[in-house]
Amino acid sequence: MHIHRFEKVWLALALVFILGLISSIVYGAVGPGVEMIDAEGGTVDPQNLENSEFADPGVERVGENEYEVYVVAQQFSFDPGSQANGVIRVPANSRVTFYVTSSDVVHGFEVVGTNLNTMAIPGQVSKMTVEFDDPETYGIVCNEYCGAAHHAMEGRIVVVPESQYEGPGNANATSGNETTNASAVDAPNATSTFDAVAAVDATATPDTVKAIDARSRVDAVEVAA
Amino acid sequence: MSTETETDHDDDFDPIGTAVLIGIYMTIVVLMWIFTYFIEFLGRGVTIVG
Repeated sequence: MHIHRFEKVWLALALVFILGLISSIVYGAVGPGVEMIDAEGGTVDPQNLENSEFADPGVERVGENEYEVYVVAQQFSFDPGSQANGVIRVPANSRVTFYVTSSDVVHGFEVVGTNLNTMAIPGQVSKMTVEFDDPETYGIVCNEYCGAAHHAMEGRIVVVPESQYEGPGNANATSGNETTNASAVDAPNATSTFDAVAAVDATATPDTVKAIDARSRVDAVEVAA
Repeated sequence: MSTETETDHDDDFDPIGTAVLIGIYMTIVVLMWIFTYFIEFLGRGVTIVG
């Protein structure tokens, strides 16, 4: 069979390109040590989280500079993570393992601007270990549509300087400067949950999110009925 | 008497313009991959290591 020399060059280049793709992924795994989230986290009964390791979610110290964080994602907050439940606080230069699950529907757990990103699936525990080197505040967002106030479901990871870290016991301390605007949710003109959500969009706080949460549960019951 | 077929003559046909165009596309794809994987993905600070 006769093959044009241009085609021979093309075949060689395409093979080199494929090898390059595979090599770069292998480099990522071996060099920087990038890992994928797998089934290692195991399963949990989402109806019975109170009798699991998620009964008292939060930060635990498990070793020198090693921490474990159990997070329950729920409509429409992270516990811990969202302000109402206390943000996640860990010290700099620490190795932190997150265990994330959901108690209701599928949520996302994405730490914005990083590769820390997983689904939070009812019954499934997502386990992932990361290293926080420098003090910084990261945002957490839910990136799977989970209901009416999905867009308000967010949280914070605060990596504090080691010298200022006061231990995992402070995980539930909330800052005192929260503003609440629950009245917007109770606006009589709000004809639906979506209107109520829109009304508080700009000023969504944990309290308003809880109020929306209660409403959407009622909506869900009505739909089911 | 010659029995040459058309394909025996294809070395006379050198679509250099097409080859250059594909070369440019290939270069763009390679550069995009380098940017996406090494700069955008690996360049982000916190990554999953376990």
